[in-house]
Amino acid sequence: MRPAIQRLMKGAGYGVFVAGLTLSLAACDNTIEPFPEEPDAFFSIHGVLNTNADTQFVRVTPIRQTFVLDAANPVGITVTSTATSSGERVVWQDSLITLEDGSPGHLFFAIMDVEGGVTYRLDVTREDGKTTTAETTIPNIPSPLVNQPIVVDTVIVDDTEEEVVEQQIILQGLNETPQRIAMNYRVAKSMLAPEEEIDIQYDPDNSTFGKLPVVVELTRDRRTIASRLGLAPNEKTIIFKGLELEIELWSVEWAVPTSGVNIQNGVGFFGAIGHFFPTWTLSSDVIRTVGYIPDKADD
Amino acid sequence: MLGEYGLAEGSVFDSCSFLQVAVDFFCVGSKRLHKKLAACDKILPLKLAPTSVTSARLCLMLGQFARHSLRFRLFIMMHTIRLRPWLTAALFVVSLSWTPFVTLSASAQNATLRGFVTAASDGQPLPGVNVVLRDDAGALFGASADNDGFFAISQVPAGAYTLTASFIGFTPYTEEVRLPEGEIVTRNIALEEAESELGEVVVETERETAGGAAVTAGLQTVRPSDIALIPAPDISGDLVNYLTALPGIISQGDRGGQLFIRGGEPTQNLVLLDGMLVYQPFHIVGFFSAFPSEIINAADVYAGGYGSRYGGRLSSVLDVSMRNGNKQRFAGAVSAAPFVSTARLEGPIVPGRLSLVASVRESVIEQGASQLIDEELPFTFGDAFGKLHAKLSESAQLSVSAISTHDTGRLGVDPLSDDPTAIREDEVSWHNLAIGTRFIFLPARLPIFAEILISNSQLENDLGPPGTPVRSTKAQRTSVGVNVTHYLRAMDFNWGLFLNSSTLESDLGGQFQNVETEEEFITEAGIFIEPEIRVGEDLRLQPGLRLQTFPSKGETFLEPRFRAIYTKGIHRLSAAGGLYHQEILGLNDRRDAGDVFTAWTSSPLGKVPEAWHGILGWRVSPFNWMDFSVEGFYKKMSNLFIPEWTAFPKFTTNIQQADGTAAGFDLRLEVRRSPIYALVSYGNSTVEYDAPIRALELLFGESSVQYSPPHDRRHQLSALVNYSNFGFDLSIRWQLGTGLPFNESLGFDRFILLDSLVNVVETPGDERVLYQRPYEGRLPAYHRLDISLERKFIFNRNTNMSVLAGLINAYDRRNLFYLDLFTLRRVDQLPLIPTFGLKLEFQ
Repeated sequence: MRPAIQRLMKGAGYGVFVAGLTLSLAACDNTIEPFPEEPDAFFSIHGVLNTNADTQFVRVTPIRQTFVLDAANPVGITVTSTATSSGERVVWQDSLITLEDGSPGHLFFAIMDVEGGVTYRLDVTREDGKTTTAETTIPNIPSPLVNQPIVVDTVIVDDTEEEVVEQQIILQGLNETPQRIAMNYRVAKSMLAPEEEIDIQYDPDNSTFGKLPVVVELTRDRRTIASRLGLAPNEKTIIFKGLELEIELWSVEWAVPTSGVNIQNGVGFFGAIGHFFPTWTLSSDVIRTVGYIPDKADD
Repeated sequence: MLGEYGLAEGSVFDSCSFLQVAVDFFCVGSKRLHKKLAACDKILPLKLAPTSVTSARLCLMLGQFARHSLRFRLFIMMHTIRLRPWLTAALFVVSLSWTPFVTLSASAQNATLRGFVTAASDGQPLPGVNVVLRDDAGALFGASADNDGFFAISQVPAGAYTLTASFIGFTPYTEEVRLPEGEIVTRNIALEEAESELGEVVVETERETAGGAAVTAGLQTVRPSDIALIPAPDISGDLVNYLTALPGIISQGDRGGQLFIRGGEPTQNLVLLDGMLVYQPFHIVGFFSAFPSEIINAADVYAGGYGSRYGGRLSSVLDVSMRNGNKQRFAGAVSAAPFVSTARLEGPIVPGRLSLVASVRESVIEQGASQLIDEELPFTFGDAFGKLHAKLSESAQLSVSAISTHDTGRLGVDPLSDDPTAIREDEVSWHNLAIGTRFIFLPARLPIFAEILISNSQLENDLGPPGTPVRSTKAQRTSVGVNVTHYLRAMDFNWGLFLNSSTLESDLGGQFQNVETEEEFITEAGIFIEPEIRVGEDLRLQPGLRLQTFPSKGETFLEPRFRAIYTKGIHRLSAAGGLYHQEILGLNDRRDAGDVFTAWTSSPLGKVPEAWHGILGWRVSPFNWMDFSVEGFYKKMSNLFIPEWTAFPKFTTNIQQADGTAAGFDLRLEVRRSPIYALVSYGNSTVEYDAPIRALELLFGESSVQYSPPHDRRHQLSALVNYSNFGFDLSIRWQLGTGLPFNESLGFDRFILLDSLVNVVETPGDERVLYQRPYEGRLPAYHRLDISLERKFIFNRNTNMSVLAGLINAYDRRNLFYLDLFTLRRVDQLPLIPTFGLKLEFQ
């Protein structure tokens, strides 16, 4: 055997020995560290601020290192919200609740109204000062610009000509497609009958209503209302008492609700919902043209 | 002028390798080659043997063939997108046209000796036997027998020779043979077992790759005698037990039945048994597979860089040929051990011509090993194999093989149970069934070895509560193939055709939301060519090309392959590489280590997994009792499919695309000094995946992440020592592997999916594990010592009994199978298990 080969073989043998020894020493350790020594996430937050509610709720779960949910003990947890523009700070109250499945849960609540366009910061703090922070901005309140109703067509119904009336509402300052659009009508079957509220949903995904402006189909809605009241669709004895547009807007966090990008040192979901109800009036002439009878109060 | 072509005075024109001529022909065209040939002819009377003229003409013809081949390749490359099945038919015609073209030219004048080498005692083929022709002047011509025992020595000058066939353990066979000019002589050789061990006259051939360190360009051949060296819980060894001792082959542990070879996934391994596809051949307990060593003839293990004969898988090939039954007398064996019980029966149906071998194994773990360690081992498995082999004539053989396997088990703990040892109720089960026939024949007038393979393979895999699986998959493939080898003087020209029809059906139970699981019918047709060219004495080149088309998918792949082996003295350098695609693939959810459910489907999302392989190796045999080898490898993989990483691991997810690389090297040192055998190996490997992970982009602002998949074992060390003396056979194996990656956790919380107006006051939500970045943690290292001591008692000439005693995991290392992050319970691999076995053999 050539000397070079011998040297190489010797070197290889030495290398294998050293590698084996090193690996053997490393192999003695049989422990597993499934969690980081110094975690940087402390709480899981799930909650939504709602302009349509006077009490706000969030569920807070400490991030734990055991799978089994221990007895909920909210002692030592402080939750506060701060309106970042005004600096107004609210301390939330804690409540230990029993959930539908019988398990306990930490529910924090605050009696407060939230306003469109305002950013709220939620701080969840442990006794040792470790804090999870979440921020959400309530969607902006759109400013409605109400155009005059117009007759867009004339159709023959029961041998009678009927004008089709629509009204365009431009929602100024609206940046995203609403999650929900509905027309809320207040009507009565007769002058003596009680007032009823009837909601007619407009499909936000509909090509007409998914984009601005919103076109309110007054004549079509009157036929729908007649049907819901148990009247013939062409019945024109319904008393018209008023209307409003309902718009529901979701904050940006809803785009990917599992991301938790707006939560620092924690996980979960913290978002906001804005409900807005632009309202306006119709003249008696328009009400009659649509096929209603104006309420006495309007005459 | 001849010197320009390597024709020194007195040399044989054959050394003017046709490769060089062919290469010249590519470059300068036929006119110049004709001039060269004319020059050769002109000088021939003075310097060249007449037979060399034939060789020169052969060179010319091969050059023409090669040139046509090049044109054809260019055509294919230009029209790849529009290729349709008619092209396959055209290729078939073109390929057939090669047969007379190449072989007639090759057989025109020189003689060919060919045949099969078998053991006289039972008619078994003897792979690796050296067959040598020696003339009076001492010139040697040789070949070694392949796994069928077939050999061919072609382009031998006509004349008288002494034929010798030798193999360790057999009496050398010697015969005077006369090879008439232009004739093909078939000589089948039956070797008698030697009373005492005799030395073997070794003809060094590139094909011979048996032995622990004898890895050549990714190929290692495993013989039953290799497997017998490994300590095993069963008295009869198993191929998988040997494979897991090799560097570069990773198993998840001693349960699960999954092998990762040099960075590839288990479903990227092509496993063939007598040419039949076996989808999931490894049993649920990691010591066992569908290949008990008792019925194996040989197994070729390609860890990568395999030639164009193989395709349809991305990572590796395991090509197992099973034994034929004893053609002389009936023989059999029964054995019992705490893990399995085995029975084998073989014998002649028509003595000397038709034989049968049948083997049945059934696990007894729940009654055996489980009782020994007082631990629940809820696994059952078994396999049954049968093979009929008929010697139709001196030059034709027919075999029919069939295999059935079944596995059922419950892996992992139940996260919802208060009992820390409670086993999860979900059960995984799979069932393989394959049947196939193989017809091999040697045409009388052509130096050709041809085989026709027809097979049908099926797999059923279920996961869920027993009897009501929530996930299931069925895969079936019917395959027809023709493989042909033309034996020429300086080249073995291999080519083949194949036609596969697959049916795939899966119900994933919503596991992967973006994968359609309708029933699929996929047809695949193709062709391969793979000349094995000998350049001079030392160099062997094996360029290859594989064309496969999937008409129903509109996909066609052209895959170049290359293998090269250079042998000089005690050194052997080898290289291999190629392009590989996998249209039909298995989808796994590796987020759950206890889940070995595999859904078979055609490539989803319109992308076909692809890999480039590169291998470079060196092997040296400084003594005839020592081998050392080092081999480096690199795999670049793209369009892999992995579960989309999310922070919600227990939920359904999407399949997404990823790219990956695997790189590393193996070191092996083998010592064979009777009575000691030792094999030490070290494997180094790094596997990295690169995947766009939307969840991480949202969390960390990174559009993609590089991570090590859960089979990335960086270091492996294995030491095997076998000592045989005084009738005892002592085997000791120690294995060490550094820890596999796992997902670390931030902790647990209760998650409420707020994708709509959910009332957080009432909705309970679900417990959730919060994963860190994927696979950043490392499990503890794995190591284990296995010992076995075996003694054979020979009662008489026809009956013997073997007794085995051993220890599995001798120092009771707590090796982790996986950690359930929900419960933080660890599922360990098998503890110390004393094992014993008894085998009774008769013949």
